[in-house]
Amino acid sequence: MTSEAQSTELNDTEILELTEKIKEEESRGSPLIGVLEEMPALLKEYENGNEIYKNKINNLITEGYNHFRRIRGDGNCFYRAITYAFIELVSKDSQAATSAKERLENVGIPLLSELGFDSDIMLDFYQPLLSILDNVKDPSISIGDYLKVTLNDDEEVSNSIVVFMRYLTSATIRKNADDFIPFLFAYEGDLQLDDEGMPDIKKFCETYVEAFGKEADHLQMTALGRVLDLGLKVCYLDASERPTVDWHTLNENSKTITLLYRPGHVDLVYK
Amino acid sequence: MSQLSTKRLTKELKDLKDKGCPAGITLLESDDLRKWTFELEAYDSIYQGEKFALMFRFSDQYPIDSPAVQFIVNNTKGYLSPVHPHIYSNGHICASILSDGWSPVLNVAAVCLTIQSMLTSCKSKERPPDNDGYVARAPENPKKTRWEFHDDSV
Repeated sequence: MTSEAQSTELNDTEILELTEKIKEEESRGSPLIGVLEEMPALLKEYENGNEIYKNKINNLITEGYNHFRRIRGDGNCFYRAITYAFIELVSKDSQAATSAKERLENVGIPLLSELGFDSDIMLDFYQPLLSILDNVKDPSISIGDYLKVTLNDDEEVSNSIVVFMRYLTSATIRKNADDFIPFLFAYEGDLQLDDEGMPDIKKFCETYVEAFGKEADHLQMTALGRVLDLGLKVCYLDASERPTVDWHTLNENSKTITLLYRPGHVDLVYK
Repeated sequence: MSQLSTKRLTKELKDLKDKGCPAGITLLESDDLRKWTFELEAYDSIYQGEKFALMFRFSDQYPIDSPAVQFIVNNTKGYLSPVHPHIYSNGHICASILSDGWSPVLNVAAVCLTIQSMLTSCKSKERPPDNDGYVARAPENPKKTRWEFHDDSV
């Protein structure tokens, strides 16, 4: 048992935690959900950098992806990105918003109760999302302005929904443990095994899913997409020597959102 | 204070007042919704007969953010920090539930019970090995300390 004052050398986990902390501090002040930007703004990030990125972004533009939206890099970016894109998508027609709300009420929330999450406590976290889904049906409001006020300007609303989405993801993984356990073996973090040598899925969820500020991997993405009945297309932009980005489809679905994934961070990209 | 934290704290406080605190725990002060104090005893333990005061401070981000929790050291009121391998003489507590192990589904009562059980299960009254060094440099708020956890057995 020591405190910071005594630590001299850091182990890998501590380095990771410190890195997360620095990223979180640096990202403070940048918007939770950025405005819609044109792709050249993304190219500008690599102005004096790697040609590979520039080529891949130019190819994305050729494929018709003309806009993107930056999400704050505080470890919650995936959850904020999917929430924003999900609401944006279903707000295009009032029937979709109604179905999305019904899906949450009939599938998501009962699942949380089934897994033993206190419904009173959960209510505080999902109420803001349900009221947004109700309000986007009002034809007189401008969706862009409304989502900016709720999901960007109001950190409390945004954070509450992040917490709710995290519990929803956790419940989905735990409920469908057989589907997800194989992926756990490939997980990079510390993984606790039970007496039979199987990963402890509850512990995994508490540490890597429920914990606020912990980044999501494709496992969390798949689970949340599944419970929301939402397809995810992931545009994987990294320094690998290929002319184009890699595409991964998580959950085939007629309703699909597109994430721009760069190692350690998620933004949104639009056609 | 934010709406979420006010709502949650008001509800927790009402539950504690209506249903009562767990055995050995008494609510002393909660006039300020952001700062509560409890008196805590650990029956059937090596701390039998000792009474401690536990202070909770809540940020606007509660319950997403964990509360700052510490024992009060106040000689005039007769409150001391329990002599325990995970509790420093300035009242700071090293417990995972107060940092990495925090979850927004936990609450004040759960924290009180965890800390009470830390005392109940303790076999010998000792300070953490780095007590003096830590206390000399410790921040006022224990949440500013980055804790490491080496031992779950106490």
